Amino acid sequence: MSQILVNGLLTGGLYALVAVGFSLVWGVMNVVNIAHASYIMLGAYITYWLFHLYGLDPFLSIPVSMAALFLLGYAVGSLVLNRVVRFGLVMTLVLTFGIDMILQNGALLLWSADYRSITPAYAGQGLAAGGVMIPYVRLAVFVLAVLFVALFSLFLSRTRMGNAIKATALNPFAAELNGVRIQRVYALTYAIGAALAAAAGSMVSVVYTIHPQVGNVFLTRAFVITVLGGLGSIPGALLGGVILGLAESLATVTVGIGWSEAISFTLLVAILIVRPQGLLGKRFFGGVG
Amino acid sequence: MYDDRSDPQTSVRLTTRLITEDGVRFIFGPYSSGITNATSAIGERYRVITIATTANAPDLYERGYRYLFGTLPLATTYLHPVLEMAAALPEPPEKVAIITPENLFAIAAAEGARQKAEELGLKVVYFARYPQDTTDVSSLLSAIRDAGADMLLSTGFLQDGMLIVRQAKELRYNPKIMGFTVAASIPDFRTNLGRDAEGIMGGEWWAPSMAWEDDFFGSASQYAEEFEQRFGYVPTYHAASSSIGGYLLQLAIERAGTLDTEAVRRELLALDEVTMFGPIRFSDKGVNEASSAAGFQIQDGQIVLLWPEDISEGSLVYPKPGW
Amino acid sequence: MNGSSMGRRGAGLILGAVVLAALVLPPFYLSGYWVRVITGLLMYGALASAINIMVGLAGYPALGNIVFFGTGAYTVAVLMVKADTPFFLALAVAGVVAAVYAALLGAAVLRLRGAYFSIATIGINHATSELVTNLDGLTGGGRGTIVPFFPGSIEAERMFFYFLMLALMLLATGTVYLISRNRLGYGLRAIKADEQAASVMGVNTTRYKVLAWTISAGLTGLVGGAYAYWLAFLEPPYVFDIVMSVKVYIMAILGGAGTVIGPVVGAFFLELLSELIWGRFLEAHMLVLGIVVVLVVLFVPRGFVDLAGRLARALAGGSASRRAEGVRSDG
Repeated sequence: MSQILVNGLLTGGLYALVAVGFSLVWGVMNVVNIAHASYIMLGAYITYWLFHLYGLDPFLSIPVSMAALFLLGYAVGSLVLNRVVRFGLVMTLVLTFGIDMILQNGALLLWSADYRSITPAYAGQGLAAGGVMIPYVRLAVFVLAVLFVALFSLFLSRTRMGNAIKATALNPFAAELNGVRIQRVYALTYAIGAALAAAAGSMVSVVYTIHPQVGNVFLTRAFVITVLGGLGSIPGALLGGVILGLAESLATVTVGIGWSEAISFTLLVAILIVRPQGLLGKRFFGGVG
Repeated sequence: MYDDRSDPQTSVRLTTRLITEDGVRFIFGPYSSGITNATSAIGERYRVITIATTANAPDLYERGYRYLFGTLPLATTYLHPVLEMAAALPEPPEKVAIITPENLFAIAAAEGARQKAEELGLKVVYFARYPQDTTDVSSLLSAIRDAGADMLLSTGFLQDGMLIVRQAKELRYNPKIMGFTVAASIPDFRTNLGRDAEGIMGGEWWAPSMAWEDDFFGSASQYAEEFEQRFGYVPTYHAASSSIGGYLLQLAIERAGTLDTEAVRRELLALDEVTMFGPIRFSDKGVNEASSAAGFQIQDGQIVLLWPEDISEGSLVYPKPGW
Repeated sequence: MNGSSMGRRGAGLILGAVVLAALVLPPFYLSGYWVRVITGLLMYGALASAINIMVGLAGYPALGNIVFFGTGAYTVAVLMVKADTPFFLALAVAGVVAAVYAALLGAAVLRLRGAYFSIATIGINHATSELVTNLDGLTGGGRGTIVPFFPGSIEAERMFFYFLMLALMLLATGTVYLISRNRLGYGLRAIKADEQAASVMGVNTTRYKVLAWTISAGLTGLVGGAYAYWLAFLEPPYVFDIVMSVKVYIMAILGGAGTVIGPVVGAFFLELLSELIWGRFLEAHMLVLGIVVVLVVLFVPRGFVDLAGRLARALAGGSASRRAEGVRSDG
């Protein structure tokens, strides 16, 4: 039983990192970013190729994949998304769905549908504590994921740029009046969201098997976690991630793994209805448009 | 030849196109049992023979279709050799766990394995189906370990197999036998997992090292060599099965002396051949009932056939080496 | 104004007759393949019209509406396989089951708006798909289920499904037409414009929204039921397919959400384009489709019907078109 809880907790940490960028973009820009799935996938492939071509340790390639996706995110944000943000949430959702199709199928053409994995020398090693196995890689991923989420939280509260993002999230018009350049903040927010997705993707490639569609499963998790934790809420993403990780783990040994997804999506709908602001969220962006 | 993008709507549309636009009379079925289910229905409607070379879920052949022929034995028998090998051991494993993704072919293989295990007196203590896109099986494996299973069978695809091995290693779960279906026989499985693939067993429909031969392709190994020269990779059963499907159709057409569907169908049903793919004889349901799967184990990065005993190339390493 | 609208009416009738002929004649002249392709177009036309009731009229982005397609499909499959129900009876039940499902969900889920509603519908689709997968005794689960064949000749089958889908498309489009002209339509448009104001003005918003979703779901369920019989084989991922759902949604937007004929135009355009792209770019098909989606959102966000209207006005030199500028066509 304790092994089940440990599994759930370790997975939950990664889930939190997967969700935090998605939640940020939604909370600040009011954009449901379907392309988040592709950014995770691209991060994973960057780490994979750096490991395979140059033998770079997967954890050391995280900054590279983050930087690359930051640039891509900034380009997409400023060149494409900013032109459409005013059309409202549903249009941007469809737009990012299109971007996701382009990136995923581009990856499919470039790298084929082959399943790939990274096996560094320390893969599979772990800590045994009282009958419970804690694999080093997964522990490192958990710690790093939580660290990233914490650092990001500090960035938002301690830096000028972070404050501008927060101000924009609260009230874009007021922020603009106070000299914040909304378009730039949007592009940056989107870029940061992509970079966080890339970090998550790099870690996904260490722990799991990757392929061009690998991001989709994590995107559906990001949905659930964001709704669970509340839009744009960073502690909410952390809590939501851990709750979802544990819930899936426990569902596997109680009702059976087949039901775990049905349960998490029923949970998603139920939370939307009962407490649309999420567990830790304060604001409600649900208005039309 | 069209690319169906593994989408049933497209597959069905293309099958119709082949028949009504291109005037095709014989079709080689698509990959995957599920899609073959949809396209062979079209073939049946138009009385066009479908030769399914990589689709062998029993459901396909239980519909009473007249024009569907499968070159592979039924998927239900995929893991039988692994189970037979296990049961023949002096100290066989005691508890079996079987897991499968939600997929027509994989479920068939898993159900077939469960039945066979019970026939052989091996106790199935855990049986689970998991969603197709599952990325994490660590809790599933923990539950299996807690159930005390010392033999783990999985009927998933390549990614499932790789995931299971990696996470079993992380959890230090060391069953005495680990057996897979398609996953383990695909070369990527061994290259990706390296040493961790050692000792893993599997069922295999065909391998270049098998002793089968015929007049057209020569021996299985000659076929494999020629194939590799032309396409640059070693063929798996998928390729060999497709080649043999073409060969059989050609035989049937030659013997019928006409392209008439009914006549060719009769000749296909009458076939009783030994080929480089093994013996082939279609039952009246269209299944190849003459052949069966072989059992193998991965040893030193190679597939070593071990079962049935008369084709054995080595001896079984049991229990599987620990992680 | 009056004279020109009379003239337009006449032109409209002629156009209608031509369109009708164009819709009825193909199966008598084209090959099985092309009949199948056009049957597919009609199916998407029906689906796009059905989603239009929610997206275009009520302004509720029911992105996961495909759940009713899957529900309808599985209702027909289960009834025909397990209870030997005749197809048309099963189809009718499929429509009712999907409609009732929406009515039950509606009271709770339609309190959500905008993206929250979209995501709830996506979640419902996913959960329902998993439910169907797990009820394998009834549905065959992940191994799928085989629906009995149409019991006639190939030609009869071809005609049958063509005209069945055509009838469903006309039914769906006709329903949109009828709704948009009666109280329900006015109520829905009021809700779309400003739900609170509509409520203050005395529109029973909950009732209207639930009714709209019930109708949309019923139509979608009918199409799903017909699809099940047509394809003759179902697996949950085939009929609870979120990509297909988004495609239908884009069709509605592309043609013009809220207009009567727009979604059908959008469906025909996108499916035909998809067929052509597929022929030219075997490998890159989905990638090109993604590019089309992005271009549509960037350049035709209000849809073809709106675009055509604006072009017509611009050609007529009318300055009134300026008025339409600030108005958005979706929520």
